[in-house]
Amino acid sequence: MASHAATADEMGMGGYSSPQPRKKGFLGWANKWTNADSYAPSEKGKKTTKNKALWVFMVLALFLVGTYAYYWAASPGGQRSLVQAKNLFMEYNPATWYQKQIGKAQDIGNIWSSEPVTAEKKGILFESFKPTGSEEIPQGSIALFTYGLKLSNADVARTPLTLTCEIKENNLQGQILPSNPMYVTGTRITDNARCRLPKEMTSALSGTVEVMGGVSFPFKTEDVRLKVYFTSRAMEDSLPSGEDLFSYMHIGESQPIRAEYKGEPIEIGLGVSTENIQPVVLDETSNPLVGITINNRWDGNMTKLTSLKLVLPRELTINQELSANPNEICPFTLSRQGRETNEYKASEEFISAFTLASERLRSFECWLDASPDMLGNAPYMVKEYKVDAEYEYELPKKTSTITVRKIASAEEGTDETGEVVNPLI
Amino acid sequence: MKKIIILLLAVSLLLAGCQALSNIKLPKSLPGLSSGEDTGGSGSISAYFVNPKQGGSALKDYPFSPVVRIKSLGGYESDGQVCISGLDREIFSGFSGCECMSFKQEKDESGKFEHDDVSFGPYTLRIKQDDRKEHVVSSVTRFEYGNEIKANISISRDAYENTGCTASINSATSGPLVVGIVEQETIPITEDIVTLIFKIHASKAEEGRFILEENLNDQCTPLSSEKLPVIRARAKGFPTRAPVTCRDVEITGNDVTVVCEAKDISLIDSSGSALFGDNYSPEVIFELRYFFETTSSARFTVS
Repeated sequence: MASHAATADEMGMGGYSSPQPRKKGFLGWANKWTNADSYAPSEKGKKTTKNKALWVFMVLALFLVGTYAYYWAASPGGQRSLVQAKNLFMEYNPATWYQKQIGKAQDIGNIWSSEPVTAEKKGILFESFKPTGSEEIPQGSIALFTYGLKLSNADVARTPLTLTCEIKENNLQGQILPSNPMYVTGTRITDNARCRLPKEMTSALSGTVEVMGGVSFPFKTEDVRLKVYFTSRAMEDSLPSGEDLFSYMHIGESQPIRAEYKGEPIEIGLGVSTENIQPVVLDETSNPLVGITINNRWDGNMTKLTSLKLVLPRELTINQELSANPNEICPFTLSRQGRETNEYKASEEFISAFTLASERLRSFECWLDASPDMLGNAPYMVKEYKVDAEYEYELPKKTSTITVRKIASAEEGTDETGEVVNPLI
Repeated sequence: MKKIIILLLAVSLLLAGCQALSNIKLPKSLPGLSSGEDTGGSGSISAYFVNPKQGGSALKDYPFSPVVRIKSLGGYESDGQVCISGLDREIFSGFSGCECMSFKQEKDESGKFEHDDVSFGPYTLRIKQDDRKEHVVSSVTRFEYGNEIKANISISRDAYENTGCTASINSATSGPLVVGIVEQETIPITEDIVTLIFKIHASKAEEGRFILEENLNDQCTPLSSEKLPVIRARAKGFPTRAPVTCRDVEITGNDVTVVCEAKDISLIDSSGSALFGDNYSPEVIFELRYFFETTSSARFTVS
């Protein structure tokens, strides 16, 4: 009985099972069809049929989708989208990410950060790079691309923006309009920056063409100030147990005290020690420290550190013996001694070749000497460290794709591969 | 109908009970416990910057005079000094790094305290365009303060039968210390002589710290931490000639107990007659005296 039902399944008869012994031969089968009540489908049979139907449906759907995808990928629009998708994937490539992490792991040592005061970026933003007009052009016509540039949260004085525009395939450079560099003044970018591929250039192109636009500019992270509280060892030792200077004096400061970060491409962090806990206690056995961390917070690259300036209170000077400066850790040399401040500049020798990729950072630290009469009879005193940095910054390049169509004559109607094309003119 | 009448009666009884309860007069204070009345205000010396105010500003081309407002919020006439520090001498020209002024808080004719504005400077602001804008100024106020506790003590004519002979506080002024309770213990020496022990329990109720008397006039120098500050106490108005002595108490924590002792009080006169009645309960004034320090700071901008 059981073997009989199994045979029916194997025969692909939908898994009908018989409640009674079935006669072999034609009569047996005829009996099946004439006595429907006796051959109700089993649960297993129902499932098998459903699976088969689903399988057929999926194959059909895959065939339809595949056919559509093939023609879509072969179309100019599809090819452009594929190139764009490939570029996007490269940005999030796990290998690239891992390489970046390895780079970051090398950023060892003291790291000082600053307190973000705004979520907005401050500087030049490169928001888009798009073809002006159609994404499909005929060979020998001019192609134009527009740079979507924005000056965010900043007021700049005649800043030169260096624009680049290059065909990825053959590294040919497009022409930048209205000028290169393009100067930006004030709080807005009023000029419409474009890249022009002249006729001669597009005549030599066909198919999907990738054009890369780039922007670099000089910028400053300036007026980065760290409030530094100094106190004497005697004062520190006389504080009630469990209290520090801030709780004792009711000064509302939260540790660590940090400088402000206003959204520039480069963040400058300042600190007074590895732990960066204030106040700085002045005594004969230790020297104060100033620590500076330069951190690339945007996605681009700092291609050059043009200038790095450190301003200390008049009572503090860099201890050249301890710091052994100028060197790569403390590259500063005294540039100006004011009535209230000592100004130091980083020696070009140590910073000229200094670049910083995205999310990478670099710290400098110098040991200081404090004047013995710095505190006088004061239980504590508040001073300030200040840093200004000037640098060249290159924003991540943006790629745009166009399709350059070969022009077929009206007579021919086919291109060199024999494919039928529509004349564009 | 019966049920409604029963319900009405029950509600009436309940309301009547509440009314009766509200008419019961509870005693103002329990023996030995502070009644909370007539504390002479709450708090001690209040000292804070009125110029510059916290989060306020100073104008760069105008003379800058920090002002600390002082007021006694407790009941004690106090004097002391206030010192300011924190200002950058390079920017606030004329400021020495730490400057001090004395003050005195006395009650006026109506028995109240008026605030005293202690002014420093003026200092010239040497601010350049590039100079920093945010500054901090701090004050350290050191002063003498005290609490006055009026308490009824109890003396029994029988040296041995003195159960229920306790002390109770009538009033206590507030200060950095708040007095909680005065305990009395009667120790019979002979059948006619007793010694009374009074324990005044108090706790620190203000932010700040007790200091040594010798540090009261220290100007901006760190305070010595080797010795412990003390509370001195004395008793006034004791009804017999017996000397009452109070021990100085070193302050080690937030709670302190001051002990005063009235030694060898004779319960009879020279003729052998009892000096005191059955419920003799005279008022005695206990005075606690100590030195205290508070701090305050103001962060402000110069524009």
